[in-house]
Amino acid sequence: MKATLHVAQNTNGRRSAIDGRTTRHSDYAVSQRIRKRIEEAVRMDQDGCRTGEDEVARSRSRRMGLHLQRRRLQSRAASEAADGADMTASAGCRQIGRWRIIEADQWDRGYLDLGGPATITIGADNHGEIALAPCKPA
Amino acid sequence: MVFFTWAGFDEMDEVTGDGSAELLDDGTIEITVAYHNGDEAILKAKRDPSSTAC
Repeated sequence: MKATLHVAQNTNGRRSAIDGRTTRHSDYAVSQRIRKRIEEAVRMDQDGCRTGEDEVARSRSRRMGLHLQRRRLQSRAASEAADGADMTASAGCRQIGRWRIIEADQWDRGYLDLGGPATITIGADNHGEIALAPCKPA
Repeated sequence: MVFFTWAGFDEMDEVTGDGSAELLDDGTIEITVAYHNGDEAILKAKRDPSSTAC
């Protein structure tokens, strides 16, 4: 069986591996129509968001789970003074909690908060989450 | 500074990478999110008023 992927150019300001050499062909436009049909049919609801009226917000969401590495928490001063030095938990935990993303080099504020506040959560249990242009849970 | 690896979805595409979050002098954090395919994004965040430091 021969299968060809329906690739899509990233058009949100981020660099894309798909350039004009691909998109200039009429077959690319056909591929995008088919890709949309497939994704709508499969309802790739990977992050638990509503479908239907939230289609646009859902399809544009970026949701990432974080896993902190070896709790390498350092205060800025300690980091600058002794590269790689461990830090006490009390200083490191200043970053633990929920943060509102207010600025991004690639997306404007309107896009970040498209479906609700864009946030990063750093948990004390070495896990966290980044949600950009998030959608409402189903 | 906190270092992390991450996995998630970027417009329905499964993506992974690593990154870091650094606390700045003004109380905000600067987050670098590096995709394993080479892309990178830099975000700035301020503490959510409902979330207090430990």
